[in-house]
Amino acid sequence: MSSPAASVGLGAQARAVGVLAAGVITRISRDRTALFFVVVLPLVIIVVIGATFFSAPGQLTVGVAGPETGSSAPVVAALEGSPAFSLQRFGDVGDLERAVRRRSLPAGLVFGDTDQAGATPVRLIADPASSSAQAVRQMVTGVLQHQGVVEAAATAVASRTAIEPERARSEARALATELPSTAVETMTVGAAPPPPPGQFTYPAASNLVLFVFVNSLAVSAALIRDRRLGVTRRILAGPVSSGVVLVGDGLGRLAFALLQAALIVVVGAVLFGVSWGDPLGAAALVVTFSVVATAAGLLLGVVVGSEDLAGSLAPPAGIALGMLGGTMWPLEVVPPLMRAVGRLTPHAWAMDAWIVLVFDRKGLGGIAVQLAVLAGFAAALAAVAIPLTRRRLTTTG
Amino acid sequence: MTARIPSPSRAGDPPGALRTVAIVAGTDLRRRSRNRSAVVYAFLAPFGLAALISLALGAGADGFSATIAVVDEDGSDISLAFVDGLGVADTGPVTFIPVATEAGARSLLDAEDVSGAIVVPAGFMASAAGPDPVPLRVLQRPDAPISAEVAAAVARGLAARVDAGRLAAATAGHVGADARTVLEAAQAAALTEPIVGLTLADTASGLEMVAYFAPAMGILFLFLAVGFGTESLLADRADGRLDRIHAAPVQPVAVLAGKTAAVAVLSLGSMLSLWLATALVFGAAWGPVPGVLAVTVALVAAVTGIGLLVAGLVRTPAQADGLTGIIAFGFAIVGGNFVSPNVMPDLLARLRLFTPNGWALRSYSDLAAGDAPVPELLMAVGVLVAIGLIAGSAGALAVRRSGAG
Repeated sequence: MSSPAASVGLGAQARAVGVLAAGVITRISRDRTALFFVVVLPLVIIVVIGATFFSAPGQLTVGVAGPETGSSAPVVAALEGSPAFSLQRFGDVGDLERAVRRRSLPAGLVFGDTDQAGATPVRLIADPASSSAQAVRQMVTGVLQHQGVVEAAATAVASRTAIEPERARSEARALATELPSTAVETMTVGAAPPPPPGQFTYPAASNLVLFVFVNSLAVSAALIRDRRLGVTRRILAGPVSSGVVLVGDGLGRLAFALLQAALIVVVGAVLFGVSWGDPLGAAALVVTFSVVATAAGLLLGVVVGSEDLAGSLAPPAGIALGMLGGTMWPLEVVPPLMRAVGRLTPHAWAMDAWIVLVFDRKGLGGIAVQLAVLAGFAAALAAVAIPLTRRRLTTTG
Repeated sequence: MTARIPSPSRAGDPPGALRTVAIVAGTDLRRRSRNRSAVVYAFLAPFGLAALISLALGAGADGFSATIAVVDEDGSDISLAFVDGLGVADTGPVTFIPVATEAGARSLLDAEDVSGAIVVPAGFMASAAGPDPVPLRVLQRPDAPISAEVAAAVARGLAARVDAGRLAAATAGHVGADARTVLEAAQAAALTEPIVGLTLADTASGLEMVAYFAPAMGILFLFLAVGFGTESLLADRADGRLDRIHAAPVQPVAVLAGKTAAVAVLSLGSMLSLWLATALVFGAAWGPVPGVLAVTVALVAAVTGIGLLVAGLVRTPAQADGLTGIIAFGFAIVGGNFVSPNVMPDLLARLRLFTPNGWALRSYSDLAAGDAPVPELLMAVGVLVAIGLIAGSAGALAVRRSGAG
């Protein structure tokens, strides 16, 4: 006897797919916890990260303590006048040292008392391993070297003539005011960059990538629950093939991922003024990455036998992949090996594409490589997940 | 598995409360150990994420590095020594590369292959003795202000040496030295690095990233793992297991205390094993043992109390799972669990003290940094214990009223 599904026409199968897909969306939307992780949590993170972080990019904050007199005054003036640094003053040296030890600041400067010659000892408090602290050190050294010109000249003269060092110093000090100084001119090369896209843009893009993937993994538990409750078996008892069930379920999950992404895109644009770049490029990226996330969720659902385990693996796995892929910190700050490992995640390619679209302001053509790689991820994941899922549907129902 | 009920021959001699607590706690712990999800949340996930963060962020990867081009169009002894010196000196995160011409340096800047350039123009040294010295040039990109400052600072160093040479020559001439002595003094001053009254105070005892993020991830998954205890209590009520236990001559409060103790023991085990594992594998130094233990025990008290409150507020395991997840991630975001302390804004540093996460993490990072004043530590421990007592008391009342305990 032929199976009931074989006699069903294409139109009926398409309707079945639509009903199954709608069923997936309905079940998820009734789960209040899922709605929290889909709607509330991503937006809260975008607000918190965007509002507290991205207001003054590219600046180093340096703490200072002690009297700002003598040779320390030009150091303070240089730091305050520089767009690269911001100053935080401390009344107590202990508080400054504590802030550096606790990594609240990359470095601190403690000024001592100015001597009769006008020189001020400066102490740089920093972790030698901190690259930011070394930038501060170089900058401060550059300013203070100018203060050491008189001493260098006096020492050289005193060591080669018969005059006393103190006389050499006073002669040099007097002459220094009459001689010209070598100037350093600064010129800017290239056009000023376009204004940054807005402080919420980067966290919005990174959280879109993170949460579309995490939540797609989390809904994998639903398929396992359907199998356990016999829902799938009852559906397959009707004139519906396993292929239709698979397509319907897959489309439902994809629709869920797209809805998640659309929510972040729309709310980001309307409430936070986020610019998502070229619309065609953004749409292509959202769809492609959603397909990747859907395939990953499908794979998790079929590989893990227990819905509890699937539900509990989804957050740490999703967060770990997000970390590796640059959604929590830019890959530029990690060691080369970790950067290479990050490239094995679809997240890294998606973040690359968002940066090209939003910050470099390029169109669909500018992210063609990234889209191709993401499509490759989707194909590879689906190639494993689909046959396994089909076999699971037909054997255990 | 059900709790053991005293044999009928001892029916007139009910088990003490402590023994009941121990039996119920032991039973729950054995059930929990068979739940793979609990093992993932309590042990595997926090260690895995802490390891990942440690590998990614390391000890000093706070982001700044730069490549700066150096162009010598002068070709004098001083400029050659300057370029050669930059090539061999240890300049930390900044790399200096020699480039033949200014045009070449501008091309590299346009292509963003370098973030700044220093140009020693032709005639630089020849003009040094005259009234109008040729200035050094620093080329900068508008999107790399820190690199520009570093390049300008290095250029100022060269300018200072040239000025020192000029001043030495003028001073030697002024005090009547002969031409040869004047020249020698000028060369000596130009080749000597000007004395800079800058000393470095090393804070190498500062906080390591792994010592911050290990407890941060541990706390996140602690809240999630506590949810299993809540689900267990509700599942026992739904299955009738609690009714059967209460039918025995045991005090209901002891049963609830036993289940709470199981949660506390699992939580403490989770944090202590994370501490041990990260110390052994990554050499993470969480800080002095007494301080870390005190904060950990207080944190477990707070999380257990909140878990008990959740148990009193919900009616089904699914609700418990949902509310636990919301609390875990909500506290983690506001508490700063995902934010490195070296980039934490002041606003977030203040907001996080509205969560137990924030108090615990601040104490852990102070202990790891070797700078944890005892009064501040005691205050944090006190706040955490208070949270646990208040939340736990309210939760216990709610659970008793709901009939689940």
